[in-house]
Amino acid sequence: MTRYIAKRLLQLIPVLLGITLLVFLIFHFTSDPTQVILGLHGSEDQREALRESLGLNDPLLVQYARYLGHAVQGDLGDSWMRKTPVSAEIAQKFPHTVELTVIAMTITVVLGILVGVISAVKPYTLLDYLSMTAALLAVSIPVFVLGLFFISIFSVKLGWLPINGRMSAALLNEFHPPTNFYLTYAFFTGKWAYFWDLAKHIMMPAVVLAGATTALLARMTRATMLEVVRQDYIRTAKAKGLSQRVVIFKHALKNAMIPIITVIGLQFGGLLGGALLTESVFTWPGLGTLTISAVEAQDLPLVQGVVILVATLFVLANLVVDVMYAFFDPRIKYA
Amino acid sequence: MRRTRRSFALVLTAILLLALALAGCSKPKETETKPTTPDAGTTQPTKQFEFTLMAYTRDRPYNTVKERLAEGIQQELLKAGIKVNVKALPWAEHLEAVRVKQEGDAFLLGWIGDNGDVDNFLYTFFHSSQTDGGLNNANYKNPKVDELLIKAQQTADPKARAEAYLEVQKLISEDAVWIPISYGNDYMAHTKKVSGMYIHPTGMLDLRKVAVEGKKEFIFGRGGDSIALDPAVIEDGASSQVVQQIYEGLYTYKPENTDVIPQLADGLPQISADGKVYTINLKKDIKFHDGTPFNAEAVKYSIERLMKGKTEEMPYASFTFGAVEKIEAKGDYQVVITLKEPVAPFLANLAMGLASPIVSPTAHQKYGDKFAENPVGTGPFVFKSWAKDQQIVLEKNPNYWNKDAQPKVDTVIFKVIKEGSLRVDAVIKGEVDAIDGIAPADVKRVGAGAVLMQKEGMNISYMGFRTDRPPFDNKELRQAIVQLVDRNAMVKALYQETATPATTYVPPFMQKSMEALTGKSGNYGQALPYNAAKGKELMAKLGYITK
Repeated sequence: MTRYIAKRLLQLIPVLLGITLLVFLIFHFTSDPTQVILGLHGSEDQREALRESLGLNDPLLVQYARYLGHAVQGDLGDSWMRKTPVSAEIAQKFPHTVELTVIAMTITVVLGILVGVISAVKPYTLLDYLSMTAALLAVSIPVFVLGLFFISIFSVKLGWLPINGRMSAALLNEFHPPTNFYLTYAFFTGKWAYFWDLAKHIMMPAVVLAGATTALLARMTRATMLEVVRQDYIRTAKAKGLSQRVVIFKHALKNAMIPIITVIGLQFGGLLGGALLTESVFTWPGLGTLTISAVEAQDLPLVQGVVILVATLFVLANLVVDVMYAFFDPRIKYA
Repeated sequence: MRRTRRSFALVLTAILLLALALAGCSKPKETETKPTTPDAGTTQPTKQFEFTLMAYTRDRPYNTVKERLAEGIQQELLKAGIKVNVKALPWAEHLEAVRVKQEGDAFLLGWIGDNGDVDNFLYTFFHSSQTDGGLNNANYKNPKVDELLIKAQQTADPKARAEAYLEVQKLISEDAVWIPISYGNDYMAHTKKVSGMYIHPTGMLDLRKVAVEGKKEFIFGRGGDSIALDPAVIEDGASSQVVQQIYEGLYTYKPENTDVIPQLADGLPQISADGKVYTINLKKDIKFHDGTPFNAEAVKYSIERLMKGKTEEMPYASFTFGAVEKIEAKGDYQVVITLKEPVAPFLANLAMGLASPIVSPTAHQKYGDKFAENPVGTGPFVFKSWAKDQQIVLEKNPNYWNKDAQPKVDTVIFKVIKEGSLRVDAVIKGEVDAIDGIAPADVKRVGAGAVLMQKEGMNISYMGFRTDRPPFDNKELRQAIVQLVDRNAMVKALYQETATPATTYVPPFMQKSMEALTGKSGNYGQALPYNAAKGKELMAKLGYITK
């Protein structure tokens, strides 16, 4: 098992090489960083000096090798737009995204599996049709439409929830957490006034973010469960006189878990890289918002840093999923 | 397995189709009717005229409809049988294509003024020295225009300068270098509880007189966060909005226009007869937020860091202080700045919110690389905290020197709300006290629920011709095109009330003040007005078919 994990981790290297090279080339051929950094005002001399100091006059391969050399030592370079280290920018934004993702995924897992199982247990009933139609809708509606729709109802019309942001301006001004895991910090230090405000702010983006994945998971769970409940061993279990709950959750669900954890794992890995549209609609100060502003400003070091992070997370999520296969299905063994 | 294969095949087909479609789009067929310079003596028009117009796909303050502006021009000219091939690119690529690669026969661009001086518009765009790497991308060269522009730079007398600039506009208009299209309006909105806000043409934000009924806190919602809070390294509006509360310069502008008035300086400078030496007296008993005294040394330090520091990272350094030879401190409260050559707009440069403000030398040395996140100036508000991409908090400066303009609120919060329509919701609901960046589509809605403020901005949107090469090296052809575009109708259709059709080459408030100084009137030096008959006549004369 350890060897298998080590091997999979080694596979990260070519993936990251390929991805960074791709981003590097795309930016190289599409934009002139001196236009990005100096804007309209730079004189040709200033541009030239900047090109020299950024090392843009060197051959492309040299530039790329230099970037990799630094990256290996944990130095992802400085953001062109913000002039701050890329690693610091990412470290700052990551906790915001993690909290949002964890809550959204919790909703997804609980709700998605529950709805899927219920639909499968009572297939072709009104409940099944209703929940599957809802799921189809949730998968199809673009998140920014859903986000704006929710905001217009719950914030603008009803006034129950704040329109936007991570925390109320006045409270954030008093709240000085040592970490950007705001919600976690407020919870563990018992700062309930802040916690409640944070919870109100995270609710809508988490639900919107969870919408599509929950729907996907529900449909997936229903489909696999329907297959599993027709198997002989389920009939045997029922014949033994086991209760419906034990049959469904212990015998059937565990056997249906493989495709379900695949979906959960991949979605989780993807979302940790920041949900571009959801974060943007809700002005969530996470990786998604950072990525959008980096791409808009054509800030290559920053984009590249985020891309490396997302790729790494995705590969790691894949790995965790594969390891979990072995847990749920003892027939799967990694040597 | 079969399902996987089938979906794989589907994806492959989709990619292939997409590739085909892209290949079909990217290479328009070469047309046979390429315009050439007409032979002399041709009487029967035989050729259709067409040209390539470079456009950008990003929202700009002077053009909120992106590439639809190009489509507007396309339609206008189609009425006369002229075909416009639009090439629309993302902003950065567009700049590179227009400025570096010199693509296209004509191009769309715009300008937001820096220092409120006419020079900043006319010299920047029409002096021949600005053709290579500068912003004279029309590649326009006219010795007479050059001479007048230099003369205006070297004269301190406002009336003589205004006369020169109006003459320049007249020459540019005859040469039909641009189609000036429109001036975009600036919008802000606030709740009914807010008072004391105003829009300055430069976008300068003055919050000293702002008060909110019933509370001592003012929350300003905006579309993006500041990038840095060091006046030397920034050029974006979101950064300078905050910097202007913390820092002050030697000079600033009157609230209603760009006339220069003293701020930290004591009176206007004494300028030597040759226009090169500026002697500036300073106000006394002013302290920076960290207690460092404001004096001549601090001024010298602030200006020299833009002359000798890492200036390649300072977008405005050479613009503002490129002409400075040296700065000397004479005693504690006088500085003498010597220029390499007389540059009249230098005074306006000293009033700019970017680059020009005076920083605390103690703080600048103490924070080093972190100075952009720990700003220390003399302004009405003191920096308190910054949660990146969320909000910046400032507090009232209890020791603010200006007794006539003591800030009225205790706390100012700059809060990011990215989505424009939600920003409008936020101000209508009172979640924030004021907002900026209002899209034309939201103007009516915000006016119904909050107080809308509107002002013509210090900007211009224009179409430039490449005057140095065919087809537009032909002056009559340019004149024809200018007269064939009905700017008033087009601007109205594209922007409704949110932009004003352009007449001259500078913003209207500048034109007004020049006309007031010189006694001229009627948009002196305005671009050729719409005249389809004349335009078609010229086209026919040049041998082109018109409708």
